[in-house]
Amino acid sequence: MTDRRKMIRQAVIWGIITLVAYLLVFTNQAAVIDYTTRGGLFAVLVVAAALVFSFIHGAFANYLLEAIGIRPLKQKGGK
Amino acid sequence: MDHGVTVAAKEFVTLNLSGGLFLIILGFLGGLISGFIGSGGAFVLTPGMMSLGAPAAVAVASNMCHKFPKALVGAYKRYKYGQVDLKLGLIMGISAIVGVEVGVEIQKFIYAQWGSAGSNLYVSVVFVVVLVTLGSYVLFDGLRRMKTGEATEVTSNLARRVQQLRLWPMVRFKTADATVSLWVTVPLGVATGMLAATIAVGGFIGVPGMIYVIGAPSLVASATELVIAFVMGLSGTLNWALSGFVDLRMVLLILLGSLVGVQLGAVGTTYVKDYMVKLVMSTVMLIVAVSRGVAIPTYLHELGIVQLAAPTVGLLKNVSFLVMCFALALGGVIIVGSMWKRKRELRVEAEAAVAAKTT
Repeated sequence: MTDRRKMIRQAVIWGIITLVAYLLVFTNQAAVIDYTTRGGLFAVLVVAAALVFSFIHGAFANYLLEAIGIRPLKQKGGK
Repeated sequence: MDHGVTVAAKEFVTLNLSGGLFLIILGFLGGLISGFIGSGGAFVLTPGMMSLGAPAAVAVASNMCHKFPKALVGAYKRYKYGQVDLKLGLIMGISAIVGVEVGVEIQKFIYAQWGSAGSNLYVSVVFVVVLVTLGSYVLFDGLRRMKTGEATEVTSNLARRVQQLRLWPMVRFKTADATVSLWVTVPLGVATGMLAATIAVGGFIGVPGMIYVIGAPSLVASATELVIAFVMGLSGTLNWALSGFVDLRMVLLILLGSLVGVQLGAVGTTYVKDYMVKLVMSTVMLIVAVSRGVAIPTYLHELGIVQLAAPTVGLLKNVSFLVMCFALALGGVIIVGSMWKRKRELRVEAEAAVAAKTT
């Protein structure tokens, strides 16, 4: 399998996971608002949800950009 | 506006398709700018959410909550490119948390003295003064470096002097290639946090500070700012979420756009010369200053200092918001345009090399 095909495959897999996660949230908006706005220890839920979505959607976005050919040119830091 | 869910005196808007798309697009543009210059995309999101009917506290809390995952993804990406100075980011990030607390106390004092209009006026004046002063300097420096075509950045005179200041404890920042006293980095972090608490974008002090005071290269400064944004964002989110003010649905819609944007912006830094970070940052800073400047008469009107007709107040507020969106869009066009141009140059170079081989 070529590098590009691998990226497309990964983008599709993570895209489906992201889509399902977003559908779960937006088809249960009242429950999501209820639990995430209770405050106190439920704050952990808010942070955890933000981290989980950043991981799955972040992975999808990464593979999507790679699949359409947007890759870093050079890797540099200091002067 | 139909306000959807009410939980314990906090209102959460009903999100329709157009509102959702609006947040995704703002998120994408904000992410693109943040991925490239380290911050600067968040200022438009709070007024953006409020324009959908979200109360100010929920908009500020949700903006904060979208910031730390976006900064985390951007910082990770740029860390892989060797651009992040983790130690500098953590020291300044922790100092920035203190700065945020100081900034919030100042805001509370102003609010108690002069109310909402006074607070808005203070924020706008800080916006205009800080952004015009620093933005003009960064623009001037960026243009100078573009004209001279410097391949590598020269450390500023101020940073050279600061690095010579041997005041214990000295800390070596490897990626930033600087050894600087904590007596310099901590106040810079505090100032970054204070600005973040006031105008929601600490990076407009943090990034120029790291470049001109500490002596970090532009790419390292903008990448390290993402670590600072992560630390500040996480701490701020916990504060707001403990009181239950974060609207997770709006956060997730913004992230839908911003996690793509932040990675595109991060990749973009590998396509351009260092001075492009300065040019994009200063362009955004100066246009945002204009946007906030336009809104100042409306706050003076609310304070009873000047008299304006109601339609004029509405018009000025709309113009201010649109100019802010324009700043983001223009920054995005410059970033994507620069990447596109560089890609085309590389393709032409590759074709020329193939042609040279075959002849």
